[in-house]
Amino acid sequence: MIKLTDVSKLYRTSEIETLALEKVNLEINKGEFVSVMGPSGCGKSTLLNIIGLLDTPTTGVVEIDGIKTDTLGDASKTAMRNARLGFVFQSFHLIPSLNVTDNVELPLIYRSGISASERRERVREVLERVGLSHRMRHMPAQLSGGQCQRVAIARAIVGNPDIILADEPTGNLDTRMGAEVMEILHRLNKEDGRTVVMVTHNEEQARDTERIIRFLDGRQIG
Amino acid sequence: MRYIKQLWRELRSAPLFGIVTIAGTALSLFLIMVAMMMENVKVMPLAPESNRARFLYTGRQKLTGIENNEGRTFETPYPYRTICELFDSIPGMEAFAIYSQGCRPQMVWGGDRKQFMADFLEVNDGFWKVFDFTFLAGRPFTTEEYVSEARLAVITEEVARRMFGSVDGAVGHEITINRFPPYQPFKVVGVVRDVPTVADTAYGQIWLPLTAMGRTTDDNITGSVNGVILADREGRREEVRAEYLRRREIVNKRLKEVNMQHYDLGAPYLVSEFRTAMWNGFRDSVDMDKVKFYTMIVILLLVPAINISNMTQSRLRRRIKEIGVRRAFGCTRGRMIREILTENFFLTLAGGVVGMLASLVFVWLSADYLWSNYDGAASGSFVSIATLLDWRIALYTIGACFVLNILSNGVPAWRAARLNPVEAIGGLQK
Repeated sequence: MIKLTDVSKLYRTSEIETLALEKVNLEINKGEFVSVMGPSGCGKSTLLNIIGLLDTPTTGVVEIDGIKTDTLGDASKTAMRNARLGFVFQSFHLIPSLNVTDNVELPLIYRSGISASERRERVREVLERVGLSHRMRHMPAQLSGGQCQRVAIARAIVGNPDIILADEPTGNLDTRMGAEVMEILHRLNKEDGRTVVMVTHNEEQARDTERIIRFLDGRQIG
Repeated sequence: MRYIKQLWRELRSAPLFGIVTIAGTALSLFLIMVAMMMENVKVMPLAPESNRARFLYTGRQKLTGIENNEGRTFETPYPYRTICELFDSIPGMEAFAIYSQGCRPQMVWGGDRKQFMADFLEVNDGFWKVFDFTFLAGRPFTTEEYVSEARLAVITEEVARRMFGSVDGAVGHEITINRFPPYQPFKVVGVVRDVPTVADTAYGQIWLPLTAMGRTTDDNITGSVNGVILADREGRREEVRAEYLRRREIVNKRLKEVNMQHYDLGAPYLVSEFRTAMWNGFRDSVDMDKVKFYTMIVILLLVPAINISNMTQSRLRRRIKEIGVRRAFGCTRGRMIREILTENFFLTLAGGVVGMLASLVFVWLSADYLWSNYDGAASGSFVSIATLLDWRIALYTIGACFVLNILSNGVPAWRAARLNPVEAIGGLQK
């Protein structure tokens, strides 16, 4: 489903060149739950950004369901992100000026052909799924960290994407809240068959996933 | 609605930005609207000049010397006979008003000998057909009365009240004007609603027949009257002009005997030409006048646009993560630009509405100053708020807000949309 062929990413500034990823070859199957591990600065997040079409590789090809994304323009990539990909960030990145409903609704706003009532219904459904239907009118500042991350997961799945990309989703949460979030991600994988790619530093959480991909200095080592 | 909600939340978190943006926009729109209204009243339908779109102004006659008069030029009002020869009963005309050059104040008094200054104008019988005065009592003088040189007068309600205490009581009374010794009286036949000074062709406080003043027998080369043709429909200028040029040849044959010739720069004139170029002595074309006006408008838009642009830039910098998140979840660059512009348009519009209302109140309160007839006797401009309310003003406001929004927010929006989502979010790991 996700295939990376000889993907490298080089960051250049006027003073320094940094090779964030070096000739990465990787396949992630549909419905797989994969952990990406490695020390800070090893290229895990760069990998996730490239798979998520938020960044482009310097060389190499990223294919999603057989579609070579290097040939796509910005609008096509944006449409693909909206339809196929859901993001969960470590710092949640909820929009502080929007309430829970409006935050979760965001991906649907950018999708044509969905009425306002359908959007609201879909938002209610996913919030029920993450156990936050009673917080629909709350602002992010009124929620705990765990609740914020559950809102972020609801936002990631509201558009029914095949792939969820989670960058240290429990990194800012205590153990109990982290476990709740992991449980939701596992449910999404097992019950819905969604592909989950998760960057984590937590060995225990990684062991619970189907496969661990390890990185060091931009290279895949396992 | 979503944009307004979003904007409202943004403003609540940064009220100073909202206040400064609204105030800056309001000031800009205030100045633009005042300028627009000042221009608009020159050409808009305005009783008793409600048919300005069908008016064709004769302007002033222009004479140039030939042979031993070569090099001499005159620009003067028309003699009565000449203006009739050139324009009266011209094809395409519904009515033709002739009026004396300049509306000057004179001392008048009525039955109780109470004296005061009033602006008077001498006019022909067609004047009452061209201009739509509202008669509160009585009537205009008829063609028969005009031809018979009857000493009649139409006065405004202000004059009626000052001289006779009421509108109804004025008709049938006599008034005397200091200008015409041996001070024979004129009989009041009608009282009309006060005329705004901005309707400056029809404006007066007392109207007398030209025939009663001996103006119609004037046969000099230079004269003392001007005219306005009321065309039977809009767009008649070229037909009227063709006939005018034919008639001018006849007049010029006569003028050749005194080594003079009529020349012109395009009479009869449309209201826009008459209002703008006439007062510049045709040194500038109407087009040039418009260029100057719109240059001023652009400057008035640009100055606040630069300031608002900087503020929007800094506000978007605070929202950079939000922009990255929106882009990540499917907002295209075009949509991002549209969202930012739409959100800010409502803010600009709020400033625009404040500016428009302020300009309406300002112009209304200072109308007597803005449109005072310095040489005249009018006690005010008689410009009402209803006169100033014009649907085009609202359209100008929305248009100006739209342009200001694009000017001030276009570049920040474009720059925000070009951001790499990863850089905007600060890296997914952060």
